[in-house]
Amino acid sequence: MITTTGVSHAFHGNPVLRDVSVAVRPGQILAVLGSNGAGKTTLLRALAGEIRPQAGRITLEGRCLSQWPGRELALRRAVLSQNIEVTFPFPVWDIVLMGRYAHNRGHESERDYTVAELALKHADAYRFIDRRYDTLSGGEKQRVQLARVLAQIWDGAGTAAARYLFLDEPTSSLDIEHQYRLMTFIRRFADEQVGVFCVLHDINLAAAFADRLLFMKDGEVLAQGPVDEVLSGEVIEGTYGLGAEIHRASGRPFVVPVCKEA
Amino acid sequence: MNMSLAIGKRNTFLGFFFFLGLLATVLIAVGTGPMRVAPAEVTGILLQKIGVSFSQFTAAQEAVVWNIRLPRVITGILVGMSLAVSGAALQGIFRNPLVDPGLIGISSGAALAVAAVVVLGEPLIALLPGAVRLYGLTLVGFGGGVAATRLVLYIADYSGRVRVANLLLAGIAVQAVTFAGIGLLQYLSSDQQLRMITFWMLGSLGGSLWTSAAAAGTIIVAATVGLLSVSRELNLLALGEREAAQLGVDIEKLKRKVVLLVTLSVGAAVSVSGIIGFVGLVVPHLARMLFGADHRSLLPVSVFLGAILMVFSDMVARTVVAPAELPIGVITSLIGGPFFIFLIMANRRLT
Repeated sequence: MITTTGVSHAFHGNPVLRDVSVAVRPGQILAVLGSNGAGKTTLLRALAGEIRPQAGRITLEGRCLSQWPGRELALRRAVLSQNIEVTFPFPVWDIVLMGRYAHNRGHESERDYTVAELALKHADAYRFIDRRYDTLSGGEKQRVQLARVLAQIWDGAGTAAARYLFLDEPTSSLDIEHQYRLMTFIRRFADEQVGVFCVLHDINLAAAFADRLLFMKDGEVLAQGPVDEVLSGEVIEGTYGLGAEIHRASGRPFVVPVCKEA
Repeated sequence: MNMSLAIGKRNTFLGFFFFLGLLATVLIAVGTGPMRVAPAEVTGILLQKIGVSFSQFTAAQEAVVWNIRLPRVITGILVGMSLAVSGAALQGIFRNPLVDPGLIGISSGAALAVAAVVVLGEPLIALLPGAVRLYGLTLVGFGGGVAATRLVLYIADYSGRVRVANLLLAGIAVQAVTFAGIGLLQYLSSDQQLRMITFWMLGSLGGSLWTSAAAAGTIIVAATVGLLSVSRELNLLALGEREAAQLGVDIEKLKRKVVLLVTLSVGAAVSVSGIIGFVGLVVPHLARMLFGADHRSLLPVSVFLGAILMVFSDMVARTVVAPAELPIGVITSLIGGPFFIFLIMANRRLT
């Protein structure tokens, strides 16, 4: 489990996280929602060990995150950021294999090739295997990067070690079909005892696939909990300043936002 | 399907191909000059040094090949590989295909130091004992290059988490100041000093000796081996510093290592050859266009292409206006430039 207790952080004196306490649990999807600039990405980067918060504590399996060696961390958690630009014209296949670095230090084995192929298939990017990364469209690039990230934690540090996946708006450049395919796969991946932390903008996508929701506003946690308990018109209004109707006819809650001025 | 084997075979083949190419270039270059020596005779002279009798040659041929041309060609190989592999590694570490070793101040710092000593400090060099005097300018150039790079890194605050953009800006600023200093020194210099500075700034392998080649070679070969050993990490860096760190690369350590190795290597190269432009920037591009961006092949290919281009350019530089010599920097740009333009245009049509 990855937990934060009372985490606060500021960039150049502007607070971006205030007293945030959350937990990412193996086997669960935690979807993070909030307006632009609410601190979602900063929280992701802090949980992934990329920035050290100025106050508060982050632990992975009970041990302070900053004490984990980079390679050990890389075997346990993978991060998919937004808009990854690759400097030089690498082939897709090489990009996916880069995900295996923590396992092989760049000396690839048959296992790495097998995993890279599986990851490409599951990210629905296998048909780009012979393409050059820089010739792909935005959504195709996103799927290739997803494959790289999956390859990284396809098999963990050991059978007992939990794995974690951090996704920053993974559906942002995907069409509807691929959004649902992706989330369905992420759901299955989480069910194999992977803890998923996923920043999303689509409340309904989050409600349909996540176990827990986390609403953020101005760097603070506004509400968090299991989907059915936490989702309310009040929380949506607090987070986005929008009214909302919540329909529960289909089993899963379905949110229809209403702009109040209209 | 076995991609690893296929790639491994291709790389072995490429390595063999480039090695033969370099060997042929060396044999031709060593034999070319006022006294022609056929490749077979050159081979004979070289093999005789390791006790193998291969072909007949005269003592004069042996003297020219062994004492004059070979040290020069070896220096050319070293300088070419140093500049090219350093350029490739810097482009990788800064994730910017426009970076060349000159940009972090090495070459201009070396040139300023040499120009200062030539114009203002020649009496000082004359005071040195003979053996040191011979290497005086070389040492000054090496020191100047390393010092200017340290200054660039200090300005960009390289000890902390350096921003690449800051580093490039600092490099450009330091380069501007050093070139201004060189300009001022040129203004103050006598005709003969001016000639010396100019020649140094455009590069020349004319002063090559076995001893200087050995000294620079030790540093360059060691640094090149070091750079080749981080090619996998340089690949990951293409994804971004953040992504590479998430994959388990110690980014700050990698940056410090690469910059240190490049500084030493190019400092050594510049100190024996003067400033030779173009190679550090363009050879990596050439290698990338021909064989792809993977640093595991890019760095070795750059080593060979840099060496071949340099030896060939030097051969042209010392023969076209014989008995005079052209600065080698003019030739590297003259040969490489149009070829590069051709590649850019060919690539443009493809994509």
